[in-house]
Amino acid sequence: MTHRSTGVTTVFSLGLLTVLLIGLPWAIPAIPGPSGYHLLKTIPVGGTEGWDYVTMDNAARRLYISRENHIVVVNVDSGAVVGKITGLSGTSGMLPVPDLGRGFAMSGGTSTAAIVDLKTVRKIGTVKTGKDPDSFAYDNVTKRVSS
Amino acid sequence: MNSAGSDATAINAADGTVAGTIALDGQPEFVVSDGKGKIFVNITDKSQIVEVAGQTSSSTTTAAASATSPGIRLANGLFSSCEKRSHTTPLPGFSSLIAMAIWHGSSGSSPVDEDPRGPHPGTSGGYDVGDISSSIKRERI
Repeated sequence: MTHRSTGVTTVFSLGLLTVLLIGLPWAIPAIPGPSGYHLLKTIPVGGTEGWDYVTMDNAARRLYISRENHIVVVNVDSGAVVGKITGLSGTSGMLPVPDLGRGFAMSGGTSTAAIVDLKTVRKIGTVKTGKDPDSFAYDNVTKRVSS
Repeated sequence: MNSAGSDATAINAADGTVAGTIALDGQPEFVVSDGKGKIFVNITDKSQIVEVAGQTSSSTTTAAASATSPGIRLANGLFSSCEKRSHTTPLPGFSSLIAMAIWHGSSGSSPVDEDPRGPHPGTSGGYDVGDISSSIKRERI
């Protein structure tokens, strides 16, 4: 019992210390320094359509750019357009799931997501979503796409 | 996140089937996954971040009351960009996760999702550690 009480006291003290340590910098407004980010290159994509989410498949070096009614697939090293996923309506973007070789391209206007084969960059199916799917995420544990 | 439907669709990535629909009390704007079975969604018209978890059941925790929050990020903590002031507070029930809602003052300029140490230069916004609205709900996917 005594030991337990000591443990509780220690935890509380650490909590208080954390509050103090975290709280301290907040009293002094800090101006962030340079981020170190700088422009490496510009890849012209063309087209007149608007953009929404841009997603990246790091291993495949591919960038998926949403352009209203289609997704443009660009190789970030060569800058070349390597594919186009068409037939979408008001797309917010495509979620690549490289582990499964699939991507899910949102189609807000039809309240669907197009299932895309990442190798061929072609639609292989469609799944019905709720109304106007917008943002998306993949969870590796549940193997589920949230849209 | 189905922005016009106030819900989210869970899709089994392997076969493209719908696993379920998650009702959200408000308009979802952005979602991040923690890679451990949970997703966090900001409800832009309710100033809330909702946590959704589990294969068969989910619990949602709302936190970080703020102005409209256009985006969230999950790094070593949960960062929420909002339009007004900022505060840092632990998400209820998650001692290891820190919710940092960072947003500008009255300037109306675009939000930042970094620099948790002070107000963004040129704004009148400050930090508000209090003003947290939290509730716990139980839902099923």
